[in-house]
Amino acid sequence: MKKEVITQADPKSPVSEVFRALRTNLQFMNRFGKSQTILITSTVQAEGKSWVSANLATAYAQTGRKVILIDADMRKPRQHKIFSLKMCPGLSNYLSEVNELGRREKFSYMDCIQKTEVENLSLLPSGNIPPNPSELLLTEKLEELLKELENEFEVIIFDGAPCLLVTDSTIISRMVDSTVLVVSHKYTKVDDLKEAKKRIKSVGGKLIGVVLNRVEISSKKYADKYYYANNMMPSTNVKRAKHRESNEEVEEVKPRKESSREREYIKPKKEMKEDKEYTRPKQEKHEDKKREEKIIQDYIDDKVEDTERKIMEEIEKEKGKRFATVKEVPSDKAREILESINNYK
Amino acid sequence: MIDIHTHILPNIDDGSASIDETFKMLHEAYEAGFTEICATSHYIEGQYEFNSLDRKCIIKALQKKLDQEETSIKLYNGAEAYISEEMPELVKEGIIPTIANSKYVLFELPLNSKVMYIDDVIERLIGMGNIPIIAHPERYRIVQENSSIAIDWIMQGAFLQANYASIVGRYGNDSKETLLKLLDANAIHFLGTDTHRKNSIYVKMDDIIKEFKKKIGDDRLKILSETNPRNVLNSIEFEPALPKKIKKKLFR
Repeated sequence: MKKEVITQADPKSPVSEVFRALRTNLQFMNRFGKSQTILITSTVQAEGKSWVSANLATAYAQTGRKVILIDADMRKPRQHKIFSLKMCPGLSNYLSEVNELGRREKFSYMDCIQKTEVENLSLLPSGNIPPNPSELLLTEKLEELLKELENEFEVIIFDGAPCLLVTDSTIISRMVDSTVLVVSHKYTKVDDLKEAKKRIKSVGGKLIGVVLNRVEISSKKYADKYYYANNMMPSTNVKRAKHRESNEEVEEVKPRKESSREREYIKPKKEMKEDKEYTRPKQEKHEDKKREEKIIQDYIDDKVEDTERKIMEEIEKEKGKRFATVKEVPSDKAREILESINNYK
Repeated sequence: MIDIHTHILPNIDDGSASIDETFKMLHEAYEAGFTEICATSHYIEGQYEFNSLDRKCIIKALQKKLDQEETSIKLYNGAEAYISEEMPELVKEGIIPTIANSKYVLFELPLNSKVMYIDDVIERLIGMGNIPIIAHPERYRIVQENSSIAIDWIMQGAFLQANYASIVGRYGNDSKETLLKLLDANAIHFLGTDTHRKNSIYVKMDDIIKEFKKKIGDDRLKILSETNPRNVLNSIEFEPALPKKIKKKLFR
């Protein structure tokens, strides 16, 4: 896997932070609608589609969701290179039912999908470069594929071709829940962007936002180096690190805001307290607290093994109960730290 | 003084890297005049996921050592949560601890990018009966570019905690200017050190205090560093003075 997948190679870098923000913003904007399938496209080539989609897919996968990234740019495929995987069999082979040697062969979609090094993330590579990508995408097989994948995966991300040069992405944008445009700072033309928006809208695609890529950030903006200094990428990636994301609302998506503006200072809502799921008798809570205190004390007093056995027994006993009193024991790492504190000096 | 924002716990996050460093930091803090310290290590989903119980154990063990060597610092539990959609739920379930077991929840935003659900998170936290504290607003680019957004958060019911070292320009000039702007507008409620390393902020506290006294005076400094944090530790709700409006600068 190449270092380009910064969200995996270096999860603490500012760039990864931006991708996590992009992920949650996308989730947030679609909270009330379905947003399982996302198409990433751009106006012209070389604006950073593949890079953005690879990193976004990784950011999604890191939340534990099952994610599939589909390389739908069958003209200049790149995802298999980014993740160091095979190019065939892939999407074009599946759609055209022709194998890499040019013979007819029916593929099931599971044959074409490969696992990446990133946990929970699978890739459907582009396959051989076909002579007629647009026609392939128009076949009903793509919709069938999408239906199958929707059952299998929680998030589906398409890395599309540029939508002004060819119609591939416009075709896909009809089928996906949301479309995101990647634009490049000081590179993408405003008129191109308008045209792209028009095209996507004209086929009924839902454009939910724009990712602004390749924004130069003066090193001053990262003056808070002590936070990230150790985690910055090596110099080979300096160019890559100069990215930033910004989301522009294009359509009617509006986070709700107005209602809370005039609220007075800190007045907890009453009705939340009556939420049945979380009310527990006071007595029980008190006992919980006492028990927790005791566990902690035992840990500090080095009676670890003894307590551990007891806790395990109790957890076993309370399995399946709605409110287990003992939820967990301190993690291994915490125990290590505790031990070293106890041995200090 | 009370420090409500530190990363002194060893090996939990990008703060203290060893127990040795933790104790050095604690001694520095004591020298600088801090008597109560909240250990608010990061809680970032997928990265630093130490839950409340782990933290409590470690803090209690540290406290025991401190008591033995007669350094009279009192430690409290806490966490600096990284904003996410699930964050309020994690607080509700008790996985992310509140500061000193009070109603107050400390959380941070990404430094350089814009998150669109801040208002939503604040609203949900308040709805659950918690009180959100936003850590170091002066360091966020969105606040540096348009400080009135911070006033909006306050009007929604959030509190703001600034970093001591911002005033001497540790986080850059933008942060310093923003902090002064926010202080002018009455929009800062707490001060914390956000110490990550030994030999960093605690040793410079003399200069920092001097600077603060010059800028806001003794009385207000006492409120920000002592009175208000005390309310957090005791889980007391209080109503700060209303912030002033900040006009957006057209040219900067």
